[in-house]
Amino acid sequence: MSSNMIMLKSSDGASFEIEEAAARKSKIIANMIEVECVDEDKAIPLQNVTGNILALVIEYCNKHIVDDDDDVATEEASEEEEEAKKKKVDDWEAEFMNSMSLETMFELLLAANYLNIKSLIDLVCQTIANNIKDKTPEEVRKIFSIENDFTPEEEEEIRKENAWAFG
Amino acid sequence: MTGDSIAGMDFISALPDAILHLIFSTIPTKFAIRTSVLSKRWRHVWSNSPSFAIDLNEADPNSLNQTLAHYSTPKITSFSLCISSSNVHQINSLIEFAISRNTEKLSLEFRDDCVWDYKFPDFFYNNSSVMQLLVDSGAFDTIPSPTVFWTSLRNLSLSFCKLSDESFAKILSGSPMLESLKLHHCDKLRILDLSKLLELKRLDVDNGGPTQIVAPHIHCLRLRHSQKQCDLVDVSSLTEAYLNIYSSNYYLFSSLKADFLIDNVLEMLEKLQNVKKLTFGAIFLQVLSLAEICGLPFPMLRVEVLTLETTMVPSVIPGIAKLLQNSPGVKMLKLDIVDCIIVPDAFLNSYLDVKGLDQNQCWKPKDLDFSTSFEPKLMTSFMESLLENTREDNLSQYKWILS
Repeated sequence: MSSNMIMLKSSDGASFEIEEAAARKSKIIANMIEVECVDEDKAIPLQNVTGNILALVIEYCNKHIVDDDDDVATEEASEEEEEAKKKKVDDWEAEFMNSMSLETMFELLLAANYLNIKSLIDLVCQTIANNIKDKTPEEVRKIFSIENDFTPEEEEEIRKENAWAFG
Repeated sequence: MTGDSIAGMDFISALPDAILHLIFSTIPTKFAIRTSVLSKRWRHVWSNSPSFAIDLNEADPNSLNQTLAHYSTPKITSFSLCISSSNVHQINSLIEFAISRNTEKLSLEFRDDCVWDYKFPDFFYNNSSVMQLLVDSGAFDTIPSPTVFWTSLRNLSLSFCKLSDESFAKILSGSPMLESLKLHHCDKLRILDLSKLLELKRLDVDNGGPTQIVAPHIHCLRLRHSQKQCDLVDVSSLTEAYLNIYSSNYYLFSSLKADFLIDNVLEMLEKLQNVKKLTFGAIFLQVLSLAEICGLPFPMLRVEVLTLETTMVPSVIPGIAKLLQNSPGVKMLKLDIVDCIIVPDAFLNSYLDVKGLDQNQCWKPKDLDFSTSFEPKLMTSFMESLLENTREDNLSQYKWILS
């Protein structure tokens, strides 16, 4: 693994230095590195990501560099160590997601989508899904501040279409 | 999640449909459908979602039909059914629906005895869009004469299925693009001839019935075979293999019947001589230990990456020692300590009794030769973790020779 550093620049002009291995978690950046031969002195501009969100993305990528590096990283690790490590990552992820507001979470999801970081997209989607699963529509509306613009009659009609799903 | 930074702002409704569909793909479709009443924005989002997963137990047929009438996505990526009713007509029409939407991944889990005799309709076997098919507890013992036509199928996984040699041969001849095959607990199968499948690279058999495996093209084999004879007739392209034994009958070891199992394991090992990456499970290692104690000849192995996935008990040690002696080319040695099923010592001992061997002498050899030509560093770290992880005190009674 190379420990080259590359520069990323957010839409609001903030610059971030990041290890190439971490930046490669983003398919888009990995692609830029492959194809466009990124100039070491020049920052990669990311027009759709603000500085505060980019900082979170980088925090996530740095935390996950080792994981994809199985062959080397786990050479000497026993199953228990691996399990402990996985639990540590899980705990870190839970804490990471817990620490942000809904607004930040959705911005992070859009950024992960734009940068094409699959594991981060999955993590945020799963966190959001957990707030939809096993909930009634009323509960979901409340959690996400969704305003119901149906009339009671319209809503009743839709429920009838899929009666089993509301049981 | 903490409280909203801007109270009352609805961020989720601003997400593009494609992302909402990703969110839906991780939950049962029932909850995706419920979102259709959240607001007008959400009215039709679920009905274009490419993944569909339901438990038929939760949906009465009439109501479900109405739902499907509104499910408008033209192409389904994943369609998953949990089936526990014996309503044959309903099952058939759902499968027909999935096929009509060019489903890529079709997953059918039969949950109840009452569907055990369900027979797939003919059109099930004529499906050129399915790429991944997973069936749990389905019956394939009789496939009607219009033969199988699964021309896009890459990935087939069958667990607890009724599967005869004859019908499985039909399935294989109709799936020329197959890359990965998983057969778990399909114990009616006997001869597994995969020689005509040129694309098939991965085979995973767990407690299977096959007594003969002819798979000259596979690269990767995972085999946890039952205690029946299993002959690896041709696995000449293998680069990676995991082997273990599914033990349901420990009493086998209290008789000479275990002889054939030991011979069989050594024969398998011989077929793996050229495989670069090998992993062995605990019971496999225990049987190797018996072979070593009985003084049977072991083949030499050209393995480079050797993984031992086992719990550490004395009865795996002689087998491990012999493996190491016979694997001079090992570059990486990995000990995966797992909590796993092993054959209790009492049964192994009664086998040694039957063979007229003194168990006390056998399990506590004075000298256990761990001599290998590995790098000393690799060996030292391996032995350290071996010592660290071994549960039983009596392991210290071994006198280990390290060179």
